[in-house]
Amino acid sequence: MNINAMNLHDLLRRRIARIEGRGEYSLPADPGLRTPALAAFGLSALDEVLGGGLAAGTLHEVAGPAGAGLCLRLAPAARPLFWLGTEAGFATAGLPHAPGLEGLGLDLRRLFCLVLPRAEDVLWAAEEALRCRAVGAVLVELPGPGKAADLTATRRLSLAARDGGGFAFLVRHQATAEPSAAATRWTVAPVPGPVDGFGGLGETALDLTLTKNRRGPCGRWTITWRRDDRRFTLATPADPAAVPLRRAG
Amino acid sequence: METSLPLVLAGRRGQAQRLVALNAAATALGLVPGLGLADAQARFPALRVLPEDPAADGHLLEALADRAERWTPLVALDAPDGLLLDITGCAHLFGGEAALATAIRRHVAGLGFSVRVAVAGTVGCAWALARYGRQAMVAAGAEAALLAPLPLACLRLAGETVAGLAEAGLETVGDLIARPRAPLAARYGAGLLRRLDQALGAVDEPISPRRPVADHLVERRLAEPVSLETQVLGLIECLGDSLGAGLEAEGRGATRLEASLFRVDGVQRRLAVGAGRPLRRGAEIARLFAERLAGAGEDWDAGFGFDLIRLAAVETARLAPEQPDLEAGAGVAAEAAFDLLLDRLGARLGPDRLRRPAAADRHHPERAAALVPAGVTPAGAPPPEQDSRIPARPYRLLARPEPVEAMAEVPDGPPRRFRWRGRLHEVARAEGPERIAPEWWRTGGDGPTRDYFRVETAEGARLWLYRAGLFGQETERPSWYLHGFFL
Repeated sequence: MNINAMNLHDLLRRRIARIEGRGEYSLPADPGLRTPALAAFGLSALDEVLGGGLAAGTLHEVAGPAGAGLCLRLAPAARPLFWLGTEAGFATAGLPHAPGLEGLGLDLRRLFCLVLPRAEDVLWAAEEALRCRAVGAVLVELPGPGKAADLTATRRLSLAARDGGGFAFLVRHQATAEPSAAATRWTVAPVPGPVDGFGGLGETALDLTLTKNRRGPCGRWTITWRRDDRRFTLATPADPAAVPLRRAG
Repeated sequence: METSLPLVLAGRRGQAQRLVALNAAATALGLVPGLGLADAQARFPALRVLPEDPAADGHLLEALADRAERWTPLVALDAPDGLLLDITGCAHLFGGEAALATAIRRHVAGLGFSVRVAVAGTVGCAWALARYGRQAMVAAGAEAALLAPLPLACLRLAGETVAGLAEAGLETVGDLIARPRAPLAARYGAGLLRRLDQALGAVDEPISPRRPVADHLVERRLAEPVSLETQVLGLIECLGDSLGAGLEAEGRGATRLEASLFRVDGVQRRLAVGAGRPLRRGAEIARLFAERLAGAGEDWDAGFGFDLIRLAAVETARLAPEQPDLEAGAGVAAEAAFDLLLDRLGARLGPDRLRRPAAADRHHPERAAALVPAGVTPAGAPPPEQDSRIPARPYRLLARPEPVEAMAEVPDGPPRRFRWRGRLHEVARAEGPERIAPEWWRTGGDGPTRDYFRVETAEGARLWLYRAGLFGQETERPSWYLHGFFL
């Protein structure tokens, strides 16, 4: 089963890092480690549309509760990552859980969480974090349609991201038609994934709809996340009825 | 309150209710503190009596001590009714000791208190003169002459000691000074002579200030009070620069700072900020205070303005003198910027808001990984290695598992369909169970055994559900909960 392989990979990666003497992570990495300019999906179909990947220094907006997971998978490693949200948002969608985040390939030592009572505070803190050049990515999560993040607020976030050069992700739990200053706008919904050979849960599948793209055309894709090598693949439509419900474990 | 009517405060002393404090009108009736309350009421049935409130008295004294900090940072409480101020090196700022005493007297009297002020070279002498003396100022060396005619109670002695000395014919301090010391010590204990020596300056007696005194402290008195927040922050920046210069000379930086703002009417307001990285630049310090003010959300009540601002480095840490490096400059700047960001977020939003994941050696998922305030775990400490045999875990966990109505096979099958947040979900695939038993070695149980299932619904959502309780062993009707999300 691949569920064990995932954690085994983690273990081995960490051991190798320790043997090579780069196990101890210090914040925020040495100056040679710059935030990359693009966060690529690793899928030519998507990356070409985006001009190589999601661009750093701009705001990307994702609708749907699964958006946070997508952004965490895309956020580049090696720089501090801020995950901010309101108490209400984290209460409905769940708080960050360290063992699962490690499974996504996230280095927990660079994760900083801020759970705040008001959306205005969240947006303020996000701007501050984005302005700091040492921060690699900022993930803002707002419950519901995220009314507080209106055109003005998104423009402010975009400007802060441009100043700091990091990645800015804004996740709304519900899609909204309100105008936004984001460079790209996505809608993310989970879809039934392909089955694995044993009747258990296979790879995670997401339906991505790109509804706004400053750099190219929009589109719609279904992608899956391969947990073992931590990358996306384009999915072939799955037939959930192909394998009957069976127990595995 | 009506001051012309006799009013007394009464409290329990020993077995009886006794008078504790009296106003002028009550004193004029011939009442004295210590008199039994029953006696006093028998003589004056119309006497107004209120119970004493030592806690309120304490608060009042604290508030006065706050105000007194405008004259010196070294203020000690001398309960129930005294304040001790160490004005060494402060008096010249107010035009000398006499002028300072007058200023204090005028300020406190202006608040409606009757006040007695004495300035002396020793705590004991000042204490005695403030309560029993006529003269408020003592030159060094003149203590003995001034104290000699005063009653022995002025030496801060216990009541029975004073009574015992009175029986021996000793009434004043002068009587005591004239006596040979050895018999006195033998008869009344060393405490008596220690008090005498303290009053006369033969023994040193430091005061213990109520708040720790910062090693590094700068202040500015303003001829014209300021009331705007921006002005105050500008002054803090100036003060921060001079504070930083002093710190740099010692190779240190401030990690905890306190600003005291003294209003014209004497009210003191204190603001404290913490810094993750030692600071000594005024601009950085002022920014932290700006966030602290913005985050507090209190109304900025400057009254008629502030006329004294004091900035103290309460805690310091070693910080090498700055020497810009051509090569690593960018990295150092980035690190400094990041520390400053964390400090500012902490100052504005509260130090506990910023959280980082921390692993604990526990079985229950919600206990095994928690978010702790960023300051608690030392940054950069590697988390303990995960057990590689633990199956996949969700990356988001509900703070409190939400109950769902589920249909499942008995005894331990996966759920087939369940209702959660008012919607029915069909389970398309499930993996499990992963059984997590309660930690029986801990008291205050975690509830029944949990069987966790990783579930994919027909719509594709991936959820983490568990059944609480083993069917047939722990319960007849296991309940189901939704705990986490995989997507």
